[in-house]
Amino acid sequence: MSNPIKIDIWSDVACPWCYIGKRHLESGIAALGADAPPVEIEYHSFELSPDTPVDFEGSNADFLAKHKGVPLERVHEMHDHVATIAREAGLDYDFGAVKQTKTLKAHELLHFAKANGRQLELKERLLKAFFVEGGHVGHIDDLVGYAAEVGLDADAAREALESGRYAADVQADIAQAVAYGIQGVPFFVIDGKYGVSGAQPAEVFTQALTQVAGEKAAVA
Amino acid sequence: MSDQMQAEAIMNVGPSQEAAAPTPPRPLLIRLAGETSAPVCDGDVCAI
Repeated sequence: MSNPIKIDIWSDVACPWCYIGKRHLESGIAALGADAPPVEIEYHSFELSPDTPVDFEGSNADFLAKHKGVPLERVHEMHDHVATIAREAGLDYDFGAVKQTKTLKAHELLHFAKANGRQLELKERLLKAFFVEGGHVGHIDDLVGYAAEVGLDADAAREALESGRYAADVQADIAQAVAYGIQGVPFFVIDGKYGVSGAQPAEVFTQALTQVAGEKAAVA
Repeated sequence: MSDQMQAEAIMNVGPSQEAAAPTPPRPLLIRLAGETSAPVCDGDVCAI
């Protein structure tokens, strides 16, 4: 069996296009069916809004309007547009229920999950909690609950978050994003050399993986 | 040599602007030919 194609993804939990992009990537891989090359996916931290309070009082619309200065009418237009595209990707976004928060601890937990072989499961769980369920992804108690749901040890997760053991890994990811020139997420790095920006259509990922698999086969 | 000629001579032996400009770093990543403009979230709000 050939070596898997590595797909490194810079992403934030509070990023609607990241969840949509995740689904498009999954669809792009699934479209290859039995011909799909083996892939190894790793998520990396990108904190979109580091100055967000953990306990922001208000809705996502309030956050964008008050914190980022976007006119409320424009915010609702954006939400409608994104929710429509999310629905097409099979995601039922509920922007009215979103609890805006700082995502630093969520990123630390994703590194803990990576170290324990459950990163993909936790990433999906956190995105669903944030965009679909109106869950809080900034409090340690809530994060520990999500960790346990995907099979991680709750006590170990709490210890990792309270000690900040993975804080340096989060910053290393952010530094790597700067080195790559990444200014927005999602951002996909395929096989360590191809950069793909944004929630691209599934067929772009299909094409990219086909190309990279062909290149790897040619040099094997 | 007039003052103007002397000034020009000094300027001509100095480093040119092109030589002084920093060389932009080589991009670390290759962009795929099939990539389209796709929505991203940046530092402030999501570009849609």
